[in-house]
Amino acid sequence: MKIKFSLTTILLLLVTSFSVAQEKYTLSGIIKDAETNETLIGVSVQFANTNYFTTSNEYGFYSITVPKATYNVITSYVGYLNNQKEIDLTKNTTLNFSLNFNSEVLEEVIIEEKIKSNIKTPEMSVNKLSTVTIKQMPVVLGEVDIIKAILFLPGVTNAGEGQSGFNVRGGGADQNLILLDEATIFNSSHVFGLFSVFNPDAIKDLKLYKGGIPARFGGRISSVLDIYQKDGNSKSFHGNGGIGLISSRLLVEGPIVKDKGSFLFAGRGSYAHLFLKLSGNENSAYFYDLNTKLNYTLNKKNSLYLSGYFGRDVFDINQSFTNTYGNSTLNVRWNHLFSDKIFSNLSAIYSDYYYGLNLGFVGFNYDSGIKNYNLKYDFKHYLSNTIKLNYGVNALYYDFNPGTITPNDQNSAINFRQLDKKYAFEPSFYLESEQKINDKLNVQYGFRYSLFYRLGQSTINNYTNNEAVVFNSELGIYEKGIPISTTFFDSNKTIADFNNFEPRLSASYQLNEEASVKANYNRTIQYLQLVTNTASPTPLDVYTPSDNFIKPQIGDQFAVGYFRNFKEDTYSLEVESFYKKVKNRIDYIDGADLIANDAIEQVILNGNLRSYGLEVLFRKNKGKLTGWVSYTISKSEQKTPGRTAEETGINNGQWYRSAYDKLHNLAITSSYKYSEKWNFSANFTLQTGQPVTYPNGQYVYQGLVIPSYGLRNENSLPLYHHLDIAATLKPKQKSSKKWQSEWVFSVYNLYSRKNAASISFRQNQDSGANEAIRLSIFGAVPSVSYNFKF
Amino acid sequence: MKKISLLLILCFSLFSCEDVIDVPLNTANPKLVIDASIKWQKGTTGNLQTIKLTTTTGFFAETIPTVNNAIVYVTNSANEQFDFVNTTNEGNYVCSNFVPVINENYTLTVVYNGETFSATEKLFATPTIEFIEQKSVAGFGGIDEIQVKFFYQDNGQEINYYLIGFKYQNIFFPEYGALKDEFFQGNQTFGFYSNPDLKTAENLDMSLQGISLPYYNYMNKLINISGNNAGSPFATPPATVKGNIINTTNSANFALGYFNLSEIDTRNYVIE
Repeated sequence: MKIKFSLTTILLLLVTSFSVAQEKYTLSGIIKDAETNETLIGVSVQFANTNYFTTSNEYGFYSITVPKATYNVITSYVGYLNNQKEIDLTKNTTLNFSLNFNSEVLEEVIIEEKIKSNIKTPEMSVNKLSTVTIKQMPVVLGEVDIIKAILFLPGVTNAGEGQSGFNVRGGGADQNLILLDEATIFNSSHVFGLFSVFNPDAIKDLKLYKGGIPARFGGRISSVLDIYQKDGNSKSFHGNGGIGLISSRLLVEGPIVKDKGSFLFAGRGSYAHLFLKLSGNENSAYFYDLNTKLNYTLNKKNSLYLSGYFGRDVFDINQSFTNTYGNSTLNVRWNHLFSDKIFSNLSAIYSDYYYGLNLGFVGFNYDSGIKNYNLKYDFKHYLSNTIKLNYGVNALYYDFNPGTITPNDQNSAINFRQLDKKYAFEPSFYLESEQKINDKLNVQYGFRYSLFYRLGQSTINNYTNNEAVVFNSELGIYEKGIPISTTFFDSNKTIADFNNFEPRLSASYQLNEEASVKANYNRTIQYLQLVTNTASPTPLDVYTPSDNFIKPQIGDQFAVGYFRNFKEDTYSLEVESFYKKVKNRIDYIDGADLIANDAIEQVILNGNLRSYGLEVLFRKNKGKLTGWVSYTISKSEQKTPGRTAEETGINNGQWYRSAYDKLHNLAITSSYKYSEKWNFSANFTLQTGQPVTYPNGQYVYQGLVIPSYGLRNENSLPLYHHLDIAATLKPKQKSSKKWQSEWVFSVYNLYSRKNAASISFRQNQDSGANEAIRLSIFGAVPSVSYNFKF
Repeated sequence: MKKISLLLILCFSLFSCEDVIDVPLNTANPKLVIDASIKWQKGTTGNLQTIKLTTTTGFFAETIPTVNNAIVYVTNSANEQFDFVNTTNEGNYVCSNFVPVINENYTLTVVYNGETFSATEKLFATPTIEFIEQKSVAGFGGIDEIQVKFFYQDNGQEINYYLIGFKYQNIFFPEYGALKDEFFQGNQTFGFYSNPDLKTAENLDMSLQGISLPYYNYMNKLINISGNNAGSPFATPPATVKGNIINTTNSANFALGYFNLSEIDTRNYVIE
């Protein structure tokens, strides 16, 4: 099924809504935290006894245009106290709000806003998590982890314990767009996936879009994880931090100019390697990251932001093997209000990912990475109380280095080699409208138009019949094609280009005050492919641009859902069902070698991916006990048929379970506030084991025992489950002191379940007998950490 | 900011562990396996050669079934036929009058259960192992371990592929590595072995073979799925590795194994 709708349809819809004229005024402003001046994202602004409603954007700005009248304006935000102001709207008015965090300070004030299902807007397939919630969840070794927390949401899994990345609705880990203050993060893990790269202290807000992806996002198929860093306190100097078994963190923030500008610096580093050093062990493994943010409000209409991230992982084995990798980002943003109805943000963003390997014993260095330059200009145009437009342009430039190999001394037997660098340019623009059709029906519709140019300077291989992978029909196997010639493309030449129209649609229909149904469809295009042949991504996986052999992935997703709040929002229920299909998902011929491969096209075929499922999220939002139960039943399958009738394709051209197919996925997380002093929390997760291929026989060749296999991924690892608990102790604070602290005690995997990270089949090197080996990463892991604020 | 003193009580039981477990496995119907690697030891006539025929069996089976009722022969480009005869009933088919010639093309024929299997391959030359170097370096965990390297000269005039083999006396099976000269074209280069268990006076046998590109690809896949890396989260999805042997009677019923011919240089090294 194909959905096509044209630009003219959208424009017509817009024109109709323009034509309604009335005496109206605009109320706009910024919503901030009263104590820190930190802007707040997604605060709802409601006009009492009317249907007028809006929310603050990513920079805390809101704007709404309503008929002249006197209104009672109420703001509400999770974890904050509601704020109410009466306003006589007889002209365009600026009204800023300062919200108070729900602490014991202001006891007289009204009510605190709790989490509940959003039943009013068409936004669905989206999960928000506050850092407060995330920090209460028990975690491995006491390391608060954003990526581990999102694994408790419906439709989100990963390859298993200690594995990097995450899979959304049966999609690959490379299909997630991870943004930190709008800058792309290419690898979200430290220590091969044990920890994530995000320092929880520096994070303000995060949103995971599993579907219904707004038109302003593009470039990945499955999901967008949109993370915003804190701006820093512009009222007074503060700090916070934590000391754990693995790492420690410290954050300092304060005003540059009071109420106008602020800074934030945060650092985190692990120190387990120091213990190794002390014990005389020369090996080391550590990671660190630094977050920075500066912001300055020039005047009512202009603000500037600068944010940066730098993180590295280092593994050093005797200085004969050193492995360094990590992300860095730098981002400058300018918020400008053209009027009280038009908010704009211009961003210049740089981000890169570096992977380096120094193999002292073989005698060479290997460096690879990706650099990304991004310029974007986004507008939010608050036309009226029923319609809001989002539009913008975006230009991305990529510089890929698949590998530079340099001998590390003159005696090295290795020659210098530069694998061909790759360049690409990805411009795009989008237009989207959020529109209230009537009191019950809300729609969001729009499109993104993206273009992609694979640019020179590059040398491209040419093959017979343009087939880089050749099918050997005699042996029934795929083999690498042998280039017949090469073509050199100069730096001003285009090697391949693509363009795609990406419609995005969603609608919500409110059934009553407590329930609504929603539906969405979106098309997303991914021009970058992660070259990886393993179940979970590894740090040395490289991204490669689409070209004449590797086509862009095209994803289509449909989802429908039912949303309901019960008993004055104490409980909420969200049920969603999705169907997603992806064209041009790359698959690898058997035994493909991917590392330092200069001609990836010789080992890949284009296939399809499809996934479908049902997600249920049941939450308790109020009371001493809060938390949620999420359950997902889903399938994710891949198919790579032969290109001609003669070819077998991969796995005989049949659908097979993708590496991230998990039929059942149950996650429970809960938090119990026992007293002001003690808080207890627990997590439980239960999943179908990861798809794997077990041998169905063995034979001997040249003294080696070789397992033989049937079709791909027909077996599963044993059921995966574990229970984790944590207790947080907040000692009574002396009211005279600024210093506040807490202790977090936790046990990960309480009953020490030996979950299989993998099962390998091999011959025992001593006895010669064949055996199955289970590798499990964590037993029960108790830990303690200390957090402080001042 | 006030000075803080901290008390950290560490109760730390992090571990990742490996254990042997029982996994129920299915067994597919047996397939013919042809282990036909003709190796011409440098300095010999290469007349005596063996080809072994077996079948696949259950992964945990203790014995490998042999095939003893097949007809096996190799022909060269002049259609000269070398018969391989089963004498021992252990699946070994032996030829004592084989004539190896570098760059000559040979064709293997196996007739089994009324089906004919065939493969064609060239005999590849191999450089000489020139010398061996033994070093002691700090390994994982800071403990010294012995590294052994054997050196040979790569031919800079052509693209070469090599199979290097090591058999350490305390490991039940041989260990192989397949190499291409991409990164050391025309250089003097080495085969490398390191194991923390290596001790003085122990035996380490080593071998070097020049091989074809398809055999290089084949051995790479085979080493991957036989090794300890198989099944790890960083491993590639395993699949049955098909060799160069074609069933000319019924192509769907393919045989496993490979027909390869190389010169081979070997050394029996004793750790110093």
